[in-house]
Amino acid sequence: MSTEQPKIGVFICHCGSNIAGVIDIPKLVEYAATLPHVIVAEDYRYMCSDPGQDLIKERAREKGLNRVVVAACSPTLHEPTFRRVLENVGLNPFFFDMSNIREHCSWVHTHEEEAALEKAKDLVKMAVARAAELEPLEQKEVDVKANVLVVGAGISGIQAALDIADAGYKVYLVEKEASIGGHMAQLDKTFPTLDCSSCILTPKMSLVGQHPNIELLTYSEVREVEGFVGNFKVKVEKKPKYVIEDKCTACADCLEVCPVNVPDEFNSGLGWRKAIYIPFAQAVPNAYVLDTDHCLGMTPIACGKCKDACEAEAINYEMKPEILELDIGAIIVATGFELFDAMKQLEYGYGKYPDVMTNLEMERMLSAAGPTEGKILRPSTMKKPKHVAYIQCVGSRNERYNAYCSRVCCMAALKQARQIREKYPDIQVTIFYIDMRAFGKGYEEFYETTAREHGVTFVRGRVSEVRGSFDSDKIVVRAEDTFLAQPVEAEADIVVLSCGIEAPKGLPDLARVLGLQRSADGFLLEAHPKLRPVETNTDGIFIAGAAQGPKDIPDSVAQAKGAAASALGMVVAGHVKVQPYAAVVNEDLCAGCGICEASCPYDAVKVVDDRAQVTEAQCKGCGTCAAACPNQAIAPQHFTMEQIIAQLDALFQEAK
Amino acid sequence: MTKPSLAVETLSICSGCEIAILDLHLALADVLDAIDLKYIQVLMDHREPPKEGVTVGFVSGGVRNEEHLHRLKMLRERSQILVAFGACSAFGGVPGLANLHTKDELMEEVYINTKSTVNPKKIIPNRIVPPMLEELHPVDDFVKIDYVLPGCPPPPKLIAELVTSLLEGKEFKLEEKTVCDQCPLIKEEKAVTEFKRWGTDEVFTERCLLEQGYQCLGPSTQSGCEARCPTALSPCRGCFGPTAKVEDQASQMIGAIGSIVIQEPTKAPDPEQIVKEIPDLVGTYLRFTFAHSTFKKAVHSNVVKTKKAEAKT
Repeated sequence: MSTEQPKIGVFICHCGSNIAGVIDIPKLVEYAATLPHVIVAEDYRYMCSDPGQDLIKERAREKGLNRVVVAACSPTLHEPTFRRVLENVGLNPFFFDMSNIREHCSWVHTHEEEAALEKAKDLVKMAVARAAELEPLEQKEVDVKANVLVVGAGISGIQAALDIADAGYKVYLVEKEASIGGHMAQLDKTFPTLDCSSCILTPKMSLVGQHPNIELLTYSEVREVEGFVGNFKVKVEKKPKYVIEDKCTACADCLEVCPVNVPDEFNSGLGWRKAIYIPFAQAVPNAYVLDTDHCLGMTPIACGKCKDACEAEAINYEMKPEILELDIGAIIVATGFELFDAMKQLEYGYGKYPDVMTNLEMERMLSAAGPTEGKILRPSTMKKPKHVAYIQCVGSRNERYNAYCSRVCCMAALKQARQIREKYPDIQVTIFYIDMRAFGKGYEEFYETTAREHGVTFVRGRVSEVRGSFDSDKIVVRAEDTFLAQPVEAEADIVVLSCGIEAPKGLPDLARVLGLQRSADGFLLEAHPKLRPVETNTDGIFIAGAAQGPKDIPDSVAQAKGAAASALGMVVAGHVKVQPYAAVVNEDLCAGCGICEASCPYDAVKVVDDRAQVTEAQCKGCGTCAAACPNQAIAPQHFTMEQIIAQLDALFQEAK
Repeated sequence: MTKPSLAVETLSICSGCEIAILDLHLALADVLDAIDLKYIQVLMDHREPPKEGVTVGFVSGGVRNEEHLHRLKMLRERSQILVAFGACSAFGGVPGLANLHTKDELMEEVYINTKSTVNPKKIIPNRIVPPMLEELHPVDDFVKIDYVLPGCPPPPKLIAELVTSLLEGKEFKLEEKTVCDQCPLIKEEKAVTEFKRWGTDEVFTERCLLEQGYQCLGPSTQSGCEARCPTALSPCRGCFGPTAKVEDQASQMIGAIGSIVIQEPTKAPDPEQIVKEIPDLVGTYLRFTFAHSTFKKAVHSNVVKTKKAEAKT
């Protein structure tokens, strides 16, 4: 506590009529003037405006204020604004407190003017009490390593990596599969332009493969992340491929001798691959990989045929997992999504009827490079179907599975329906939907055209059941047509389930490794849903694409570019300011019990030599440790126990 | 020069603290050389501390009846320095748990309800014996205390330290650290999946007991005991009470417990489940300090009754 007597100025904002429309401002000003240490109490229409800021500066100079309290909106909005004002008049910017009398009073108590005024008085009183206890704090800077780690190499990860690499900075691109490309590589065409997906993706993939600034780590996973913004220490595990990338010529000699057939993941299980395989034709890196889960055994006794067949001597059965240790400046997480497991929604018969398939399986079937070379065939008969029915919102917008909308399935179904109708005008297509969500640029037009010019039938109603027909080999889809308000039944040859998008099963583990939070839907949580959509609550870690929530390609690319720009901003500057909120340990009280270490969500506290130590750059000042410490030996600098107790004392003073 | 004099007053207590003084063993001879012991009921046949006063008064035990209160005030008047000696006088101690019930309930239970009592006329004694107070009080509810020497009982080593520093005219102060500071057990990671009752499962030597799932109050208890209990692989019960920094030992410990429980990875712990694993909340977190805590006493004894009824069903 500084020795000089606090001289507090209280400035109350009308926020137009947002606050003044409910709260009696003159009464509040009058009250504020009576509070201890307050020597100025004034109001203004918009305190955040330039004249409002000037008013604070003027009074601070005139009356020699050393603490400022602004009663206005949320500190997340304007705390930085007013801190700058304090800096401008030569005060420490942390001699400032804000009480939120808009969100907490006028907006929520619109019809209780008296009560809102009383609450505003309490909030101002508490802010003043805390202001008197505030301490000056210094902002520190930490250096940022000049590289970025991108986790996940789908379209988001690829785009982010390219943007950063093109700006001249080193990128480590980690992908857990054998090839980059992600889900976009599996798609045939993209909505609403009907571009060929691989035609627009593969040039980017090959750029990534050849870029001098990108170090591509496929078949690899992030195992450990320590450190803090600008200085992450990352351990990446490179799983053995048993094929030496540089030597493999992708000649396919090994394929011919491999005796094992495995359902092909890239074709959603509709085709077969060998135990030694290349994920798809345009894979980057273009090299084979040996799948040890299905390989008969990597010894000459068990099999060993591929090694014998390989003239380039690229196969090495002795390969071991490698751990790479990287020093990283910033991290972008672009781990994408997984398709909802249609087996979970039993009533739609996926897994029971071979002709019930997922949207991704249909996508592979539509692809000229797919298992049917672009032909639409009924899996049960291998003949052309007459009627294809789509069921929307499978696993999405459903309390039983995922409450959220997966955002891409409506457009994907429209696109596939249109592709089918264009290829085979004699196949009838029906889409059962709850409501069509065609929200993007050009999407509504696409929907209109598909419905009007391509003769796709739409039925509004959630499908209740899919079952085999009793008297034919068709599949019966039962639903309620909510326009006609009556049940409908349709016989189809193929039923396509528009499966929604889910967070990948490995995401919780990765989130824990990275110290990131997830939202209720399971995806990664952004720092602010509107204003900080690519940042996370951990400084230096950004998110892009479907890792943050269901997204289509344009949105994923946009967010990837945003994440790349944010990461670049930090890396290019070479240093970053850290808020001086970090917790400090009182060594006279700390017994080294380790409860703070266990409670810290940011891994910022460690017990070293029986005393807690805080890594300042990693600490967010959240105060969890302060609440957990049984001896009050640790507290964040900007929310000390003294400040909180002062607030409480002020609040309960009159009640005593 | 006259020797400094000492008086030890015994209130609502088991006399263990007085025995702890005798536990000084050979050091007691030195102490008795330096101090004029004027009054201690377990050793001497005096009714009260000397009228001319003493230099130091030790008071052990809490205040349960009017006689205790009278004796406490008398000792305060007659001593220059007053020491709250032991957990009972400082925080109420185990007898303080009686504050979970009202005075009338206690009387009824002891003189009428207990199985071994034969009291057909249901008489509750109220003559000759000193009247009970409504609740048990730690001594600082009534008088100013100069020093606190906590513990159940206070360790002889600390008694010697206190006496020595008083003789030398120095301030006596315990370090404001907690028991963990002196605990030799190894702390690895505080991530508790479930809490176990003491004696219901095996105990691993060398590993922090709290990390093993036992309710060890070490992290929230004033140090000074050299972690006697955890060293012997028995969880700390908190007889040294909170450190001076802490307002309420139980709420601090509960806050700590809440932040180290991981029942299922990635899921927030279920408080109901944690509470189920701790059968006696007050007895666990406020065994020695209930009478000195924020709650102090049962305001509505019905609360306790309903809890009991719930537990039975």
